[in-house]
Amino acid sequence: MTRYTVEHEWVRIEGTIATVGISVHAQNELGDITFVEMPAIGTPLKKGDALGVIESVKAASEIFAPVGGTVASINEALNDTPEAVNDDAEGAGWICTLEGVDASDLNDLMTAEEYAKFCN
Amino acid sequence: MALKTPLYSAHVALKARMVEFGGWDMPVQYDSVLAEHNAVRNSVGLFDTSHMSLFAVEGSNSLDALSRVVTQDLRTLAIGACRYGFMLDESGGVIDDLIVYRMGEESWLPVANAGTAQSNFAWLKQHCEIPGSTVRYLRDEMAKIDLQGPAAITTLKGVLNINATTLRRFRWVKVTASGHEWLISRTGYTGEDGIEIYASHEAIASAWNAFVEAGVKPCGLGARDTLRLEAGFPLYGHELDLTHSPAEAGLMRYARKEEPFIGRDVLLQRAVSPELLLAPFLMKGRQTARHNQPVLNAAHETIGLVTSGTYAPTVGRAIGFAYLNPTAAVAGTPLFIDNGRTHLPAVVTTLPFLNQQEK
Repeated sequence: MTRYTVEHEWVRIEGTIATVGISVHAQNELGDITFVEMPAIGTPLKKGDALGVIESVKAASEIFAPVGGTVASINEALNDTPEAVNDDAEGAGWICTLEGVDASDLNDLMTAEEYAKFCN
Repeated sequence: MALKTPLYSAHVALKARMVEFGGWDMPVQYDSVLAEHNAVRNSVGLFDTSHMSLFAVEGSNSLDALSRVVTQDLRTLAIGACRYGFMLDESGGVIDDLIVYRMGEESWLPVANAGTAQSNFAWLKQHCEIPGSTVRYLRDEMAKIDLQGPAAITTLKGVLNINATTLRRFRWVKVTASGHEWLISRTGYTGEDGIEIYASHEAIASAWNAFVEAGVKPCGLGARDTLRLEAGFPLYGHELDLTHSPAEAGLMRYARKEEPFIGRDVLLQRAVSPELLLAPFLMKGRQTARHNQPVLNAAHETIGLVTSGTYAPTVGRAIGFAYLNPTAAVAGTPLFIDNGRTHLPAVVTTLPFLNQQEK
């Protein structure tokens, strides 16, 4: 199950691992993604901490941790093909995974349906 | 309330993302900046450039009058040709960069930027509205589109039945075709072959629709910026402004040597030992430097400011321009760009940016 933030990140929790990215709506607003700055593996993050920066032809935007946790892996493929975020933002365009996640951090995030309404 | 070009409704119908630019409601992108950029590099793209300010300076004294305010040598400019240069203030600062077309013995078409239209008009009226010389702002009479890319000439023939194969760079011609009169020049702002097309609002709207229906990709201001930056062209408000003269911008070749013009004496002084120099730089990677970010030297001391930066699709890396201390404005000098979070490595390079993929 995927949850969304008001800052347009998504998070999907499987077991104790959370996968994080930016939403399809967000990549569409940003336009062509040219660079994704990802956090170092092992970085501890609190919910709401800046975890990276996403750059498009037009602008640079910070990415915030939708839930707290420790960075377990990053999507190395984005170093060479950041356009994967445009092509498949909520799949192959994932940005990092976090471990040691507190599931209660999900409580105030939006469901897909709520997020779709929020974007309109 | 932003101004609207004759193509505004066409942009809206194409679902363009609109932004205000230079006082106009303009398309920044239709589809994707990269797709539009690549269309121009590889084939052909179409731009609405009706926001640019077009003027007519005419009359028996127009040559002398306009020569006072532009750096171009108008006396050697042939009818049928156009030339790039500047309007400067008394201190050598750039009021605008512009192309002047010689339309006749005593008739000139200066084409300048959008955001500077009112200051350009005021400056031209002040200095060129004299006995024997008149100035008109052509906003309501003429509109403009640019057809740019290696396939521009064949596309122009195929869609509007205008043959421009023998038209040379920086030459213009007037033609009647497809029921309208057109002024076309072999010019552009993309670094590719191409044509700028001037005509009535009605004719430009019909041409736009015909090109789009023929499959030509409409391109917005986003691609216009990445294309001009890759080509190494300055943009007013970034590389050029009232505080930077052609001396600091490295563009003295566009200022004539002999005949005086407003700002010339100070300009020549500034060119002897410029306090800053415009330098092109190449980032180590894809991460982009942005306008007004500080530039640091290897000792991480501030030595300048970024004027423009973008990811360069054709180069595969990020590029930009910065005003630097002259000692640093030498190809090969290592730089760091302070983006507020980190210091990104870069290096001063040489123009053109294109063809640097292997560096």
